[in-house]
Amino acid sequence: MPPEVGGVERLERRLEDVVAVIQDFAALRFGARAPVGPAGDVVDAVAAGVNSLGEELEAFSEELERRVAERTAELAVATEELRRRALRDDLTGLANRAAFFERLAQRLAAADRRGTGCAVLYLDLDGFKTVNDTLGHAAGDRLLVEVARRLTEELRAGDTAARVGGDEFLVLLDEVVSGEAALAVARRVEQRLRAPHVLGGRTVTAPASIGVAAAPDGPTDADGLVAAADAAMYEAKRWEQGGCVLVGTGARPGDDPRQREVVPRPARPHS
Amino acid sequence: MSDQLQQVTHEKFRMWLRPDGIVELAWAPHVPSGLPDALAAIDAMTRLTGGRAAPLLVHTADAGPQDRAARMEFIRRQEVVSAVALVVGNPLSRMMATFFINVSRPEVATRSFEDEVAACAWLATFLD
Repeated sequence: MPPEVGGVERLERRLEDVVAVIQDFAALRFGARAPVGPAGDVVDAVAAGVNSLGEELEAFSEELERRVAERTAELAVATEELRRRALRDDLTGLANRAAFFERLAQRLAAADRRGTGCAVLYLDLDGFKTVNDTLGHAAGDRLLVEVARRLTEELRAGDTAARVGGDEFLVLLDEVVSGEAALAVARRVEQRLRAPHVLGGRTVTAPASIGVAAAPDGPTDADGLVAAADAAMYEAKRWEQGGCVLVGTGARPGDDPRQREVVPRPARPHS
Repeated sequence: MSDQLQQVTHEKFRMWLRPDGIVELAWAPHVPSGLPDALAAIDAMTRLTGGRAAPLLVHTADAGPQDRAARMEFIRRQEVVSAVALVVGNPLSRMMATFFINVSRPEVATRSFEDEVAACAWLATFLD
Protein backbone atom coordinates (compact mmCIF):
# COMPACT_ATOMS: atom_id res chain seq x y z
CA MET A 1 0.00 0.00 0.00
CA PRO A 2 1.46 3.40 -0.99
CA PRO A 3 2.09 5.86 1.86
CA GLU A 4 -0.34 8.67 2.37
CA VAL A 5 0.59 12.04 0.85
CA GLY A 6 1.15 13.76 4.21
CA GLY A 7 3.33 10.84 5.35
CA VAL A 8 5.52 11.16 2.29
CA GLU A 9 5.98 14.87 2.92
CA ARG A 10 6.93 14.23 6.56
CA LEU A 11 9.36 11.55 5.46
CA GLU A 12 10.91 13.93 2.95
CA ARG A 13 11.32 16.63 5.60
CA ARG A 14 13.02 14.21 7.99
CA LEU A 15 15.36 13.03 5.26
CA GLU A 16 16.07 16.64 4.24
CA ASP A 17 17.19 17.27 7.83
CA VAL A 18 19.62 14.38 7.54
CA VAL A 19 20.85 15.56 4.14
CA ALA A 20 21.45 19.03 5.56
CA VAL A 21 23.65 17.55 8.28
CA ILE A 22 25.60 15.53 5.72
CA GLN A 23 26.17 18.75 3.77
CA ASP A 24 27.43 20.40 6.95
CA PHE A 25 29.90 17.56 7.40
CA ALA A 26 31.04 18.06 3.81
CA ALA A 27 31.80 21.68 4.78
CA LEU A 28 33.82 20.35 7.77
CA ARG A 29 31.12 21.47 10.25
CA PHE A 30 31.21 18.25 12.24
CA GLY A 31 29.14 19.65 15.11
CA ALA A 32 25.91 19.49 13.09
CA ARG A 33 23.30 16.96 14.32
CA ALA A 34 20.11 15.62 12.80
CA PRO A 35 16.93 15.32 14.91
CA VAL A 36 16.20 11.77 16.08
CA GLY A 37 12.52 11.17 16.78
CA PRO A 38 10.86 8.74 19.16
CA ALA A 39 9.80 6.26 16.47
CA GLY A 40 13.12 4.49 16.33
CA ASP A 41 12.37 3.70 12.70
CA VAL A 42 14.78 3.48 9.81
CA VAL A 43 14.90 7.27 9.33
CA ASP A 44 15.75 7.72 13.01
CA ALA A 45 18.40 5.04 12.60
CA VAL A 46 19.86 6.91 9.62
CA ALA A 47 19.75 10.20 11.53
CA ALA A 48 21.37 8.70 14.64
CA GLY A 49 23.96 6.93 12.48
CA VAL A 50 24.84 10.16 10.71
CA ASN A 51 25.05 11.92 14.08
CA SER A 52 27.33 9.22 15.46
CA LEU A 53 29.59 9.46 12.40
CA GLY A 54 29.67 13.23 12.91
CA GLU A 55 30.75 12.73 16.52
CA GLU A 56 33.53 10.41 15.38
CA LEU A 57 34.61 12.85 12.66
CA GLU A 58 34.61 15.69 15.18
CA ALA A 59 36.70 13.68 17.65
CA PHE A 60 39.07 12.54 14.90
CA SER A 61 39.42 16.09 13.61
CA GLU A 62 40.21 17.42 17.10
CA GLU A 63 42.73 14.64 17.67
CA LEU A 64 44.32 15.37 14.31
CA GLU A 65 44.57 19.08 15.12
CA ARG A 66 46.10 18.25 18.50
CA ARG A 67 48.68 15.96 16.89
CA VAL A 68 49.52 18.51 14.21
CA ALA A 69 50.02 21.17 16.88
CA GLU A 70 52.17 18.76 18.89
CA ARG A 71 54.30 17.82 15.87
CA THR A 72 54.59 21.46 14.83
CA ALA A 73 55.87 22.35 18.29
CA GLU A 74 58.36 19.45 18.17
CA LEU A 75 59.48 20.55 14.72
CA ALA A 76 60.01 24.11 15.96
CA VAL A 77 62.16 22.83 18.83
CA ALA A 78 64.16 20.61 16.46
CA THR A 79 64.58 23.45 13.98
CA GLU A 80 65.79 25.75 16.73
CA GLU A 81 68.23 23.08 17.92
CA LEU A 82 69.53 22.60 14.36
CA ARG A 83 69.89 26.35 13.96
CA ARG A 84 71.71 26.56 17.27
CA ARG A 85 74.03 23.74 16.28
CA ALA A 86 74.63 25.32 12.89
CA LEU A 87 75.79 28.51 14.58
CA ARG A 88 77.65 27.04 17.56
CA ASP A 89 81.00 25.41 18.09
CA ASP A 90 80.12 22.03 19.57
CA LEU A 91 83.18 21.80 21.79
CA THR A 92 83.22 25.20 23.47
CA GLY A 93 79.64 26.35 22.99
CA LEU A 94 80.92 29.60 21.49
CA ALA A 95 79.62 30.95 18.21
CA ASN A 96 81.18 29.38 15.11
CA ARG A 97 82.68 31.17 12.12
CA ALA A 98 79.36 31.50 10.27
CA ALA A 99 77.59 32.94 13.29
CA PHE A 100 80.44 35.33 13.97
CA PHE A 101 80.51 36.75 10.46
CA GLU A 102 76.72 37.07 10.49
CA ARG A 103 76.86 38.99 13.76
CA LEU A 104 79.75 41.15 12.58
CA ALA A 105 77.98 41.99 9.32
CA GLN A 106 74.88 43.02 11.29
CA ARG A 107 76.96 45.19 13.59
CA LEU A 108 78.75 46.90 10.72
CA ALA A 109 75.47 47.47 8.89
CA ALA A 110 74.17 49.22 11.99
CA ALA A 111 77.29 51.35 12.33
CA ASP A 112 75.53 54.51 11.20
CA ARG A 113 72.88 54.17 13.88
CA ARG A 114 75.32 53.39 16.68
CA GLY A 115 77.17 56.12 18.48
CA THR A 116 80.32 54.13 19.12
CA GLY A 117 82.56 51.90 17.07
CA CYS A 118 83.25 48.20 17.31
CA ALA A 119 86.40 46.08 17.10
CA VAL A 120 87.54 42.60 16.20
CA LEU A 121 90.10 40.60 18.17
CA TYR A 122 91.82 37.66 16.51
CA LEU A 123 93.30 35.22 19.03
CA ASP A 124 95.65 32.34 18.43
CA LEU A 125 96.92 30.13 21.25
CA ASP A 126 100.66 29.74 21.19
CA GLY A 127 101.12 26.54 23.18
CA PHE A 128 98.17 24.53 21.97
CA LYS A 129 100.02 22.13 19.67
CA THR A 130 102.43 21.23 22.45
CA VAL A 131 99.54 20.42 24.80
CA ASN A 132 97.89 18.28 22.13
CA ASP A 133 101.13 16.45 21.33
CA THR A 134 102.20 15.79 24.91
CA LEU A 135 98.94 15.39 26.83
CA GLY A 136 96.63 14.18 24.05
CA HIS A 137 93.62 15.52 22.24
CA ALA A 138 91.29 15.17 25.24
CA ALA A 139 93.53 17.50 27.24
CA GLY A 140 93.70 19.81 24.23
CA ASP A 141 89.92 19.90 24.11
CA ARG A 142 89.72 20.70 27.81
CA LEU A 143 92.19 23.52 27.27
CA LEU A 144 90.04 24.99 24.51
CA VAL A 145 86.95 24.81 26.71
CA GLU A 146 88.80 26.55 29.53
CA VAL A 147 90.10 29.24 27.18
CA ALA A 148 86.56 29.81 25.92
CA ARG A 149 85.33 30.16 29.50
CA ARG A 150 88.01 32.68 30.46
CA LEU A 151 87.51 34.60 27.25
CA THR A 152 83.77 34.84 27.75
CA GLU A 153 84.19 36.02 31.32
CA GLU A 154 86.27 38.96 30.15
CA LEU A 155 83.66 40.17 27.68
CA ARG A 156 80.49 42.17 28.07
CA ALA A 157 76.99 40.91 27.34
CA GLY A 158 76.80 42.44 23.86
CA ASP A 159 80.16 41.08 22.73
CA THR A 160 80.49 37.89 20.66
CA ALA A 161 83.20 35.26 21.03
CA ALA A 162 83.67 32.55 18.41
CA ARG A 163 85.97 29.60 17.84
CA VAL A 164 86.91 29.65 14.18
CA GLY A 165 89.68 27.09 13.95
CA GLY A 166 91.57 24.54 16.04
CA ASP A 167 93.02 27.09 18.44
CA GLU A 168 91.86 30.31 16.82
CA PHE A 169 89.19 32.56 18.27
CA LEU A 170 87.49 35.72 17.08
CA VAL A 171 85.88 38.31 19.30
CA LEU A 172 83.54 41.12 18.32
CA LEU A 173 83.65 43.97 20.82
CA ASP A 174 80.24 45.47 20.24
CA GLU A 175 80.96 48.92 21.62
CA VAL A 176 84.40 50.50 21.90
CA VAL A 177 85.17 54.18 21.84
CA SER A 178 88.55 53.74 20.13
CA GLY A 179 91.12 51.28 18.91
CA GLU A 180 93.07 51.88 22.12
CA ALA A 181 90.04 50.90 24.18
CA ALA A 182 89.80 47.68 22.16
CA LEU A 183 93.49 47.09 22.70
CA ALA A 184 92.96 47.50 26.44
CA VAL A 185 90.34 44.75 26.35
CA ALA A 186 92.71 42.57 24.32
CA ARG A 187 95.44 43.05 26.90
CA ARG A 188 93.07 42.12 29.71
CA VAL A 189 92.09 38.96 27.83
CA GLU A 190 95.71 38.15 27.08
CA GLN A 191 96.61 38.50 30.77
CA ARG A 192 93.72 36.25 31.75
CA LEU A 193 94.73 33.58 29.24
CA ARG A 194 98.36 33.77 30.32
CA ALA A 195 97.47 32.24 33.70
CA PRO A 196 98.41 28.52 33.91
CA HIS A 197 95.93 25.70 33.27
CA VAL A 198 95.89 22.41 35.18
CA LEU A 199 95.16 19.50 32.83
CA GLY A 200 95.33 15.94 34.09
CA GLY A 201 97.53 16.94 36.98
CA ARG A 202 99.93 18.84 34.71
CA THR A 203 100.25 22.60 34.73
CA VAL A 204 100.49 24.09 31.27
CA THR A 205 100.43 27.58 29.83
CA ALA A 206 98.90 28.59 26.54
CA PRO A 207 99.37 32.32 26.02
CA ALA A 208 97.51 33.96 23.19
CA SER A 209 98.66 36.30 20.47
CA ILE A 210 95.94 38.80 19.74
CA GLY A 211 95.42 41.07 16.77
CA VAL A 212 93.04 44.00 17.17
CA ALA A 213 91.23 45.84 14.38
CA ALA A 214 88.73 48.57 15.13
CA ALA A 215 86.04 50.06 12.93
CA PRO A 216 85.70 52.68 11.63
CA ASP A 217 89.45 53.37 12.18
CA GLY A 218 90.32 50.38 10.00
CA PRO A 219 88.40 48.47 7.34
CA THR A 220 84.64 48.80 7.51
CA ASP A 221 83.64 45.48 5.94
CA ALA A 222 83.57 42.19 7.83
CA ASP A 223 86.12 40.32 5.73
CA GLY A 224 88.51 43.28 5.72
CA LEU A 225 88.20 43.84 9.45
CA VAL A 226 88.87 40.18 10.27
CA ALA A 227 91.74 40.03 7.80
CA ALA A 228 93.28 43.11 9.45
CA ALA A 229 92.92 41.57 12.91
CA ASP A 230 94.41 38.32 11.55
CA ALA A 231 97.40 40.16 10.16
CA ALA A 232 97.85 42.00 13.45
CA MET A 233 97.71 38.69 15.30
CA TYR A 234 100.55 37.34 13.15
CA GLU A 235 102.43 40.52 13.84
CA ALA A 236 101.96 39.93 17.57
CA LYS A 237 103.08 36.33 17.18
CA ARG A 238 106.17 37.48 15.32
CA TRP A 239 107.31 39.48 18.32
CA GLU A 240 107.02 36.73 20.89
CA GLN A 241 104.46 34.32 22.25
CA GLY A 242 101.61 36.17 23.83
CA GLY A 243 100.98 39.79 23.06
CA CYS A 244 98.58 42.20 21.45
CA VAL A 245 98.89 44.37 18.35
CA LEU A 246 96.43 46.98 17.22
CA VAL A 247 96.13 47.48 13.50
CA GLY A 248 97.59 50.80 12.42
CA THR A 249 99.61 51.47 15.58
CA GLY A 250 101.70 48.43 16.32
CA ALA A 251 100.89 49.33 19.93
CA ARG A 252 102.44 46.97 22.40
CA PRO A 253 103.83 47.41 25.89
CA GLY A 254 107.52 48.25 25.69
CA ASP A 255 107.32 48.56 21.94
CA ASP A 256 109.22 51.09 19.94
CA PRO A 257 106.84 54.05 19.83
CA ARG A 258 107.04 54.30 16.07
CA GLN A 259 103.66 53.81 14.47
CA ARG A 260 103.74 50.67 12.39
CA GLU A 261 100.93 49.90 10.02
CA VAL A 262 99.92 46.29 9.88
CA VAL A 263 98.91 45.47 6.33
CA PRO A 264 95.82 43.27 6.29
CA ARG A 265 96.23 39.94 4.53
CA PRO A 266 93.58 38.75 2.11
CA ALA A 267 90.47 37.62 3.90
CA ARG A 268 90.04 33.90 4.57
CA PRO A 269 86.88 32.32 3.41
CA HIS A 270 84.40 32.28 6.28
CA SER A 271 81.98 29.59 5.31
CA MET B 1 23.65 -11.61 50.29
CA SER B 2 20.25 -10.68 51.75
CA ASP B 3 21.22 -7.08 52.43
CA GLN B 4 22.86 -6.61 49.03
CA LEU B 5 21.34 -3.90 46.81
CA GLN B 6 19.13 -5.53 44.17
CA GLN B 7 17.97 -2.60 42.04
CA VAL B 8 18.89 0.98 41.12
CA THR B 9 16.36 3.34 39.62
CA HIS B 10 17.54 6.42 37.73
CA GLU B 11 15.54 9.00 35.78
CA LYS B 12 16.84 7.51 32.53
CA PHE B 13 17.31 3.84 33.37
CA ARG B 14 16.56 1.02 35.73
CA MET B 15 19.17 -1.56 36.62
CA TRP B 16 18.79 -4.70 38.66
CA LEU B 17 20.74 -7.75 39.73
CA ARG B 18 19.15 -11.09 38.90
CA PRO B 19 19.45 -14.10 41.20
CA ASP B 20 21.64 -15.86 38.62
CA GLY B 21 24.21 -13.03 38.76
CA ILE B 22 23.36 -11.32 35.47
CA VAL B 23 22.72 -7.59 35.69
CA GLU B 24 19.97 -6.08 33.53
CA LEU B 25 19.84 -2.49 32.31
CA ALA B 26 16.71 -0.99 30.76
CA TRP B 27 16.97 2.50 29.33
CA ALA B 28 13.91 4.78 29.46
CA PRO B 29 12.11 4.71 26.09
CA HIS B 30 13.09 7.26 23.44
CA VAL B 31 15.28 9.32 25.77
CA PRO B 32 18.76 10.29 24.55
CA SER B 33 21.59 9.46 26.96
CA GLY B 34 24.93 11.14 27.52
CA LEU B 35 27.99 11.08 29.71
CA PRO B 36 26.23 11.77 33.06
CA ASP B 37 23.89 8.87 32.39
CA ALA B 38 26.79 6.57 31.52
CA LEU B 39 28.56 7.55 34.74
CA ALA B 40 25.38 6.88 36.70
CA ALA B 41 24.92 3.48 35.04
CA ILE B 42 28.51 2.45 35.76
CA ASP B 43 28.11 3.60 39.36
CA ALA B 44 24.89 1.62 39.66
CA MET B 45 26.58 -1.47 38.22
CA THR B 46 29.40 -1.15 40.71
CA ARG B 47 26.96 -0.80 43.59
CA LEU B 48 24.91 -3.81 42.50
CA THR B 49 27.87 -6.15 42.04
CA GLY B 50 30.17 -4.78 44.73
CA GLY B 51 32.69 -3.89 42.02
CA ARG B 52 33.03 -7.42 40.69
CA ALA B 53 32.78 -7.76 36.91
CA ALA B 54 29.45 -9.31 35.92
CA PRO B 55 27.57 -10.10 32.68
CA LEU B 56 25.29 -7.24 31.59
CA LEU B 57 22.07 -7.52 29.62
CA VAL B 58 21.03 -4.19 28.08
CA HIS B 59 17.53 -3.59 26.79
CA THR B 60 17.92 -1.09 23.95
CA ALA B 61 14.93 -1.96 21.78
CA ASP B 62 13.17 1.36 22.40
CA ALA B 63 16.05 3.36 23.83
CA GLY B 64 16.96 6.78 22.48
CA PRO B 65 20.30 7.56 20.86
CA GLN B 66 23.46 7.62 22.93
CA ASP B 67 26.22 10.17 22.35
CA ARG B 68 29.93 9.51 21.86
CA ALA B 69 30.95 10.71 25.33
CA ALA B 70 28.68 8.08 26.87
CA ARG B 71 29.99 5.35 24.57
CA MET B 72 33.57 6.27 25.34
CA GLU B 73 32.90 6.19 29.09
CA PHE B 74 31.49 2.66 28.80
CA ILE B 75 34.61 1.70 26.85
CA ARG B 76 36.88 3.32 29.44
CA ARG B 77 35.21 1.57 32.40
CA GLN B 78 34.95 -1.97 31.08
CA GLU B 79 36.31 -3.45 34.28
CA VAL B 80 32.77 -3.48 35.70
CA VAL B 81 31.47 -5.99 33.13
CA SER B 82 32.57 -9.45 32.02
CA ALA B 83 30.38 -9.48 28.90
CA VAL B 84 27.62 -7.31 27.39
CA ALA B 85 24.58 -8.44 25.45
CA LEU B 86 22.66 -5.68 23.65
CA VAL B 87 19.05 -6.68 23.00
CA VAL B 88 17.84 -4.73 19.98
CA GLY B 89 14.42 -4.45 18.42
CA ASN B 90 14.09 -1.55 15.99
CA PRO B 91 16.29 0.03 13.30
CA LEU B 92 17.60 2.71 15.65
CA SER B 93 18.66 0.25 18.34
CA ARG B 94 20.27 -2.06 15.75
CA MET B 95 22.22 0.85 14.31
CA MET B 96 23.38 2.06 17.75
CA ALA B 97 24.43 -1.46 18.80
CA THR B 98 26.31 -2.02 15.57
CA PHE B 99 28.01 1.34 15.92
CA PHE B 100 29.04 0.61 19.49
CA ILE B 101 30.47 -2.80 18.60
CA ASN B 102 32.19 -1.89 15.32
CA VAL B 103 33.26 1.71 15.88
CA SER B 104 33.70 2.10 19.64
CA ARG B 105 35.09 -1.45 19.70
CA PRO B 106 34.82 -2.60 23.33
CA GLU B 107 37.50 -5.01 24.51
CA VAL B 108 35.02 -6.96 26.63
CA ALA B 109 32.93 -9.56 24.75
CA THR B 110 29.93 -7.67 23.35
CA ARG B 111 27.18 -8.91 21.03
CA SER B 112 23.78 -7.76 19.88
CA PHE B 113 20.73 -10.05 20.02
CA GLU B 114 17.22 -9.87 18.67
CA ASP B 115 16.14 -12.45 21.24
CA GLU B 116 16.47 -11.94 25.00
CA VAL B 117 16.56 -15.68 25.77
CA ALA B 118 19.50 -16.19 23.45
CA ALA B 119 21.23 -13.20 25.00
CA CYS B 120 20.80 -14.61 28.51
CA ALA B 121 22.07 -18.03 27.41
CA TRP B 122 25.19 -16.42 25.97
CA LEU B 123 25.74 -14.25 29.06
CA ALA B 124 25.38 -17.28 31.33
CA THR B 125 28.61 -18.63 29.88
CA PHE B 126 30.37 -15.67 31.51
CA LEU B 127 29.07 -16.34 35.01
CA ASP B 128 31.64 -17.48 37.55
